[in-house]
Amino acid sequence: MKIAVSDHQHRGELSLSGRFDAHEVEPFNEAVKDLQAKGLKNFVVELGDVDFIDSAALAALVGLSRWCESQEAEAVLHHPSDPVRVILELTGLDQALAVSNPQHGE
Amino acid sequence: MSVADFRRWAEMPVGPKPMLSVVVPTYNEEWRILPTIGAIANHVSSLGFEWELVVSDDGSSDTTTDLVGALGLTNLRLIAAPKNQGKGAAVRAGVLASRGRYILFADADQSTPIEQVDAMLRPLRDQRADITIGSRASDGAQVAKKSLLRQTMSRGLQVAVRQLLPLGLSDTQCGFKAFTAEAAHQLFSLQRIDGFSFDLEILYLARRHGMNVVEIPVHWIDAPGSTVDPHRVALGFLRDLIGIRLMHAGKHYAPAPTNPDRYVASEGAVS
Repeated sequence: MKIAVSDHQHRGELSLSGRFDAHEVEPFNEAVKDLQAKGLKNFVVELGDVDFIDSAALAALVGLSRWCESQEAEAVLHHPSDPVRVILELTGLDQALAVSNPQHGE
Repeated sequence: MSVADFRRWAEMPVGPKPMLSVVVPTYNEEWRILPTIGAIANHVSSLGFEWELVVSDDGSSDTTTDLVGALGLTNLRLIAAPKNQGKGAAVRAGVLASRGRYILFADADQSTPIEQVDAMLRPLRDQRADITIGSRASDGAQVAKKSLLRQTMSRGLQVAVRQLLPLGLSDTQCGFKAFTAEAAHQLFSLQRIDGFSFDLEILYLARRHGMNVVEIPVHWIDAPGSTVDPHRVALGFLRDLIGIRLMHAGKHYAPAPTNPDRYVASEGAVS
């Protein structure tokens, strides 16, 4: 998986592409920590180019979302690809996490 | 259109003879099963034919069957064994319950991404094969994140296969195999091994029946969190390697292929 990181208007942005699975959780969390260390509390995770997401990766997204809530901020999952949308739906996480542009790709 | 296709598949029952059955054997897969079902359902629903998903649970003691049952997907059938018998038993139950013209079994960890089903079906639909098997060792295959221990064990076991039960195949154990319905029902009706060596028995029986097997190089990614003990599996595998010939000795199946070259072929590299 590739992770492109940027900060924009006081918001951390992580653009992911490829397979987001247990092998990729550590680099994802490291990238998040680097942005948190800059004082950023709001996050956007771009998921349009992710072709598979497993439970470990979902747990990492839930962890980020919880942390943002504890900071009275928000983590938004942006443009989830079709497989990610279906997986979010089947796990019920589409209701528990902030997902934007849910009609993308349909 | 694939999310719309998924929703249609999730709600509209398919006919009695769908094009494809996808069988996923499970044992204590509560952590991994939902993303796997999501990935399979999203992709296969977009292929434009009728299909069903058969989750064959091998007596899980966790919440796997509850999670799968609660999804309420119209074309997902859950077969739950009352007690743990082994992967071979779960795949057999799933395959024999399948109604598709073609049957794919795929491991529950998505280590062979489902997008490769297209390449697996092509030789079956073109009537060039009775069975296609995912191969991590054919030219063009890609293997990622496999631990050194697993690499060493896999190589050792494949050497043992070549010596003790030579089938002319580069990888007998990849959990991604497809069959015509006729081949699958014939072979799985005879299969007796309930454990992890069932693939070998199936391929041995395929050879005895003169069926055509085509290896498809796959892209495979090791998925952490396996629920099996690799040492125990390896020992059982070696025991079964010797036992398979004895198990079917003296039985008369269809004649061996007249042209051995027809038995094994290999397709091009995975795209």
